[in-house]
Amino acid sequence: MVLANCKFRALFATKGFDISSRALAAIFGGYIVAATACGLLSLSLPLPKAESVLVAMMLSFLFYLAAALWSFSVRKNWQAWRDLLCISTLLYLIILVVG
Amino acid sequence: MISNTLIFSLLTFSYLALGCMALAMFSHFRDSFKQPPTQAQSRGLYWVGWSILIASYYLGISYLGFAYGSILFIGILSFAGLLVILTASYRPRHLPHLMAGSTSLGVSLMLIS
Amino acid sequence: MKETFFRTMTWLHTWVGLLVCWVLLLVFFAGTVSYYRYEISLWTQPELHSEVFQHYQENHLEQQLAQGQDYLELHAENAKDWRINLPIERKPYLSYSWQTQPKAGQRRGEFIEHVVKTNDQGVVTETRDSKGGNFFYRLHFDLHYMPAKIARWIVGFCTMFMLLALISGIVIHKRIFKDFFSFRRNKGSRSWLDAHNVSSVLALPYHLMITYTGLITLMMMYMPWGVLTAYDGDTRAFRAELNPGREQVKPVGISADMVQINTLLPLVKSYWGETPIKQVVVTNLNDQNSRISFYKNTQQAVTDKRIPLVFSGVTGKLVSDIPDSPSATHATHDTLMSLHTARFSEPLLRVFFFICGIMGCAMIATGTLLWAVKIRQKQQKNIKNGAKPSLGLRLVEGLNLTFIAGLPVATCSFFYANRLLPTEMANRAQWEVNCFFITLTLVAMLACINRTQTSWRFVLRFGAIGLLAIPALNALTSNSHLINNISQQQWALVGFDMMCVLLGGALWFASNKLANKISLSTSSSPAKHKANITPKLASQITSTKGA
Repeated sequence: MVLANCKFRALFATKGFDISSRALAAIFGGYIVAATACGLLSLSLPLPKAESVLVAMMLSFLFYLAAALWSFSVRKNWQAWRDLLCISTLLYLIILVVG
Repeated sequence: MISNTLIFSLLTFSYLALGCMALAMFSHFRDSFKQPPTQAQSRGLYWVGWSILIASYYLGISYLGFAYGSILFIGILSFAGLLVILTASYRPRHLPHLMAGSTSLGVSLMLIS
Repeated sequence: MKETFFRTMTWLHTWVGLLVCWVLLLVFFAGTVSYYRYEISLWTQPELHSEVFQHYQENHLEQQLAQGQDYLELHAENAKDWRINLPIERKPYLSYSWQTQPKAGQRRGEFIEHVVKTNDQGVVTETRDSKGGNFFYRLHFDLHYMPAKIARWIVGFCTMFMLLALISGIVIHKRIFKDFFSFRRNKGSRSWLDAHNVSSVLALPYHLMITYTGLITLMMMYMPWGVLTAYDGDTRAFRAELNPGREQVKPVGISADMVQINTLLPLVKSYWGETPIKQVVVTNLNDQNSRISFYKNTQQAVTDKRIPLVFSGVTGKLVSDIPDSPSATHATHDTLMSLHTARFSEPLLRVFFFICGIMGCAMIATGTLLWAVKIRQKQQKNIKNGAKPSLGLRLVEGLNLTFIAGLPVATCSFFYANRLLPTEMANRAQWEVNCFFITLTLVAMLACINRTQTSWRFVLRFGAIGLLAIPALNALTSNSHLINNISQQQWALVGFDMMCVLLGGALWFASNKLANKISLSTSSSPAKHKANITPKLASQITSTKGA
C-alpha cells in the first residue's frame, strides 16, 4: 500500500507529467477561458449586439494566448488548472447572472 | 491609380534610411568605413535615418491614402531591411555607395513622375 | 516552470515551434503561393493563353452584357444561376459561367465557365480539368485528403501555436534592436540563429498580422460562443445582421420573363459612377423572384466586403438597401479580413506580400534547422564514436528534408503534371494534386534512407532544374512562350515564368552553398569550427537551447 502510494506520487513528480499537465491546461483550460470570456463580452460590451459579438470573437484569441502563457509560467502545474478553471467558472457564473 | 515609380522611390528612400540606421551601429560602421564612428556621427546617422523614414512614410500616405500607404510602407520596410542586411553582411564596403546610388535613383524617379 | 520567466519562454518557443512547424510550413507555403492564385490558374489553362485577353471596356459594357445574357439563355437555360464575369486586372478576360442544377444528393451543381474570345470569334468551351491556383488556396486551410472541417481545426490549432511561438520569441529575443541588421555568415549554428532572427524580426508586423488575421477569418468556427450567448445560438440571425443583403431569396415557382440586364446599367451608374463592375450574378432564373446582382471591382480599397446592388429580375427595381458607412467595429473586422486575403493589393504590393510570406517560410525553416543543427552538435561526440543519432533528431532531420526541400519540388511537379498529363484523362484535376503529394512522399522516402547534405543537394538541384525549365515547358506545351507573352504584355504569364526562374535560381544557389559546405567540412576539423564561436555567443546559444 505504501509502496503503491510512492509510485503514484513519483508519477506526478515526473517532468513528463508536469509538461503534459501544463500543455493540457493551456489547450483545454485556455480554450474554456477564451470561450467564456467571448460569451461574456458578447453580452456585456456597450455596443450593438452584432458588433459586441464581433469584438468579443476577435479578442477571445488574445485571452487564449494569455491563458496559455499563464499555464506555462505559474510555479506548479496544478496552479495552472486551478487558475484557469476558477476564472472560467467565474466568467460562466457571471454569464448566467447577466444573460 | 497607384504609381509604381512612387513605390520604387519609396523603396530607395527606405533603403537609405535603414542603411543610415545600420551605419549608426558601431560594428556596421566599422565594417563599412574601416574606422569606428564618433559619438556624434553615430547619433547623427541614427536621427537622419529616422527622419528620412518618417518623411517617406508621410510621402507614402499622402499619395496613397492612410490605409493602403501604411500597409505598403510596412511591406517596403521589410524588403528594404532585407536588402540592407544582405549588403551589410556580404558587401559592407559598398553599403555607403549603394545608399548614395539608391537615393539618386529615387530622387530622379520622383522628378520624372 | 523553469527557474525564470525568460527560461520558460525560451523552452516554450522551442517546443511550441518545433511541434507544429511542418504543418505550419505547408500552410505558410501554400498561403504565400496563393497570393498568385489567379495567375497560377491562368497559367494552368493554356487554352486561355491567346485570343481572349482584353481590358475592361466601359463603352462595350452594354453590348457585352446583352451578348452574355443571350448566350446564357441559349446554353444554360436550366442552370441554378448565371454569372457574367467582366475582365479585371488579374483575370483579364470576359467569361460566362453557370452552376447546373445539383443532382440528387449533392449540395452544389457543377460549375461551368466559357471564356469569350476577342473579335467575336466565339467562345472557349473546353479548358483542361485543373484546380490551378485554387489547389494552393484550399491547401492553405483545408489541407487535402481529409474532411475540410477537421483540417480547419488542425490549421487553427497550429495557428494558435504559431501565435504563441511568435509572442514567446519576441520575449526571448533580448537584442532585437541591437542585432537588427546582423547576419553573421559561415558561423555554423550562429548563422542559422541570425537567419532565423532576421527573417522573423524584419517581417514581424507581417507575421503577427497574418497569424492573428488567420484566426479571425475562421473565428465563426473556432469561437462561436458569443453567438451562443448573445443570439441563443442562432447563427443565421447573426450572419444576417452582419451582412445585410446577403440572404438568398427562394424561387416562388411562378415563371416570369426577365428584363434585359443591360437596361439596368444607367441605374447602376447612378449609384456607383464610373467604378468598374466586376461581376453580374443572376439567381432564380425566369422566376417571379429572380434577382440580378451587380458586384463592383473594389480595386485598392482595403475591404473584403462584397456589397452588391440587387435588382428584381422581373421589374428591374432595386431591392437591396444601400448600406450606411460601416461602424468602427465592422470596419476593423473587414480590414483584418482583407489584410489576410490581400485582394486589394496592386502588383507591387503583392510582390511585397509574397516576399514577406517567403520570409515567413524562411523563419519556420531556419527555426527547425537551427534545432537540428544544435542537437546534432550536442550528440556529435556520441555519433563520432559510432552511436546512431537519437530518434528525435533523425525524425526532425527527415521531416526537414521532406518539407523544406520537398515542397518546392512538389509544387514544381504539380505544374509539370498540369502540362504533361493527357487532357482527356479521367479525374485529371485530382491526379495533378496526387502528383504533388506523390513527389512529397518520394522525398520523404529518400529522407528515410539518407538525410545527409548529399540528399539535400540532390533534392534542391532537382527542384532548381525543374523550376528553371518552366518557361521551356510553357513554350513547348502551350501556344505562347515567354517572348511573345512579353510582346503581348501578358504580365501574369510572364510573371509566372520569371518567378519560377527566380525561385529555381535561389534553389540552385542554395544547393551550391551546400556543395561548398560539404567540401569545407571534409577539409576542416570541427574543432576549428567551434573556435569561431566566441564564448559570449556560445553562452547565448546555450541560453536559447531551451530544454
